[in-house]
Amino acid sequence: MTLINAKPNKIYIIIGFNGGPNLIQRLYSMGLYPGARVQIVSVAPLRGPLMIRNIDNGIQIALGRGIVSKIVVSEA
Amino acid sequence: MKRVALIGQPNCGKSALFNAIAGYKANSSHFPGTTVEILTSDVIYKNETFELVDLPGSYSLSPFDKAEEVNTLFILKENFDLIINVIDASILNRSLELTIEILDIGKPTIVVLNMMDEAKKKGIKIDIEKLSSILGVPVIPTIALYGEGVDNLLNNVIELLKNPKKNKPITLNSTIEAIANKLSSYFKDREEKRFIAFKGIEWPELKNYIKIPKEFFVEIEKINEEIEKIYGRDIKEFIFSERHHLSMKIAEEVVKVSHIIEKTMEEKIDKILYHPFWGYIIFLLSFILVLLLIFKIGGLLEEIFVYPFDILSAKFQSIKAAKILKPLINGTLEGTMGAIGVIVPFMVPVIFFISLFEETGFLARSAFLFDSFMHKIGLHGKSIPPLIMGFGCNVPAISATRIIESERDRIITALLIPFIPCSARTIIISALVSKFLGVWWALFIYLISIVIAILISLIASKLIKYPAPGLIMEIPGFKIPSMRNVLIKTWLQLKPFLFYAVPILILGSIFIEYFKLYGAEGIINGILRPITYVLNLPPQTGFTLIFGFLRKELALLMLGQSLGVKITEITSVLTPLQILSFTIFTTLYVPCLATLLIIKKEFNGKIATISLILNVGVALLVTTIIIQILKIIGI
Repeated sequence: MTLINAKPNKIYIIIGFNGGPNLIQRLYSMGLYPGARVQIVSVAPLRGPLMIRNIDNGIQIALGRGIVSKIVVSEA
Repeated sequence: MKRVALIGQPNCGKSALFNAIAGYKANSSHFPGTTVEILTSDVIYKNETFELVDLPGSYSLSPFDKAEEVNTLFILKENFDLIINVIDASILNRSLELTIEILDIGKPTIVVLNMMDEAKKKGIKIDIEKLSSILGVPVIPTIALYGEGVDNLLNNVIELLKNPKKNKPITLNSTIEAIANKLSSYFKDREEKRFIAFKGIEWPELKNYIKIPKEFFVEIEKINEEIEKIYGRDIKEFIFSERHHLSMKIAEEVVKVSHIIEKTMEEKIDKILYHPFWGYIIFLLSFILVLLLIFKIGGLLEEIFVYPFDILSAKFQSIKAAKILKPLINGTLEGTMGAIGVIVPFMVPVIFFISLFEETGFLARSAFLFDSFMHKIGLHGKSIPPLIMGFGCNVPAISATRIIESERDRIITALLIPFIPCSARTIIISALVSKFLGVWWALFIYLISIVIAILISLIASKLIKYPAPGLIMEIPGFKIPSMRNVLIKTWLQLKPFLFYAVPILILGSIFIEYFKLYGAEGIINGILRPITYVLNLPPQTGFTLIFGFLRKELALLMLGQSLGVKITEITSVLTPLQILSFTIFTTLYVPCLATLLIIKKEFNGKIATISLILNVGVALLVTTIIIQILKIIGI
């Protein structure tokens, strides 16, 4: 499944990405990488972005829906 | 002089460290080929001097947007002697990826583990000696916000500047090492050849900035094919994921987490700040509250500051002087009074609150909250921070559009920024409308500016269609702001105003007095009469509009002068409707000269011309419509 179908506040583990190397590198360097445990902490209204939190280090990243749907996760 | 570069990821406390070392003495400057302002400071420590350069925060040295290019280009093109790599100690594993890239450069390097208090709060313990021996460079723990560890850092900097010790790069796996060796042979004459070899793979745009032989790219193609065949991944991904694994491994070796993270007070506040409902309410309320505070505090300060000038000018009125000298005396007096007595009192609260907003991390949060709204008007969330910065000053706001990845979005955002009332225009709104007509009329002008920006964005995005790319933005945790940092930031912005703008304002005042003496003013007023007529303003105001183009505050200063009264007594010559008309028009009609120049520099002359025409046109149209409506209603 991808993170876009994930339930808010539940913990997931990132497995991989369906995206080009530039996007993947950016996500890695910002703190989202395979193996990281993540959680959706907030969803902006009107199909807005999602706030994703890496619960291992507390980093929070706002991601548009298109990008969130490229993050492959599994339930922790 | 020796030069030391500060490099770190966003939100690592790099600016706090820079402030702790350089304090209020910093100067901003531009480097060739960049328009992003960079702070530098000459640091004197134990009889040694060096120049400290604060480079913009960057996640990686393979740039993702225009702002991040600055770091990579600085490393490749500028001369410097030492790198201080600032790291947020509480997220060591992520930060080390940048450190590994930096160590590829081969310059003497010091790693600073900053925010040690945050790490401690999270129960993180770092074996500093072990980290230092793995990285092969000095590692210094600091809490920059409180100046802790700064002396230790400076001692190490001085020592390393005296006896430069090149560091060794961190070795990656054998396949990548073989690639690095092969590719760096193309840049034999450069010290940082390993760094260039990697960037050549990871950032193809590099070829636009330094000379790269064609064979280099042919070689990369060849290697890429092999890697894809054996490992099934792109060469770029192969390298950065290896770098990632290595930094995870190093972090694992040196970090011990002793207790489970508890939710802090700041995290609880944060949860409310980005709440899908309360977040918006809090944002809007604090925005309005800050504006009201600016009007009130500014008005209070003005009364205090202007008082001594009133006494002074009464004294000077009685002095007899030759006709030719009279404008000099009057101009100096009026100019000083306007600048120090009226403009500074309103300016201080504006820049103070904007700095406070920046310190709390509110700016980044607004990008998350307003992303979907921005999509509706054809942009996306990343346009919000530059637009909000525009309330301080349009010039750095235009440069800040560099965080926006798409060129189309950058251009539209840059065209919107001039409609955002900057601090200079807030001063005019405060000193005229808020003071004589009331705060609600002042807020009304803000509302108009925002509505105009929204409409233009809607129209522009219909004209240039393009799907807005998705948002990617780190939202740093909410921080209770440090007053010290806010005050330093405020002073850093006030200083250039006092030393550069005030003299210009005084000279301008003298100039206008001589113009009046010789009647040249009348000619300009005559030419501009059609405009002042439409705006329902007295002919004498035409002249002031020209000056407002140079600096917005000048328009305010000269308004009183050209009408022959003090600004604080403007109601004796202008009706409330005229005050409103003058203020709305001045707020909208054109960004100042500096803004136009930065648009030309960041984009090109065509965009700057479009911006100019757009602003003047919209200002004339909107002001006329509003004034006519108010006349009909009978206000």
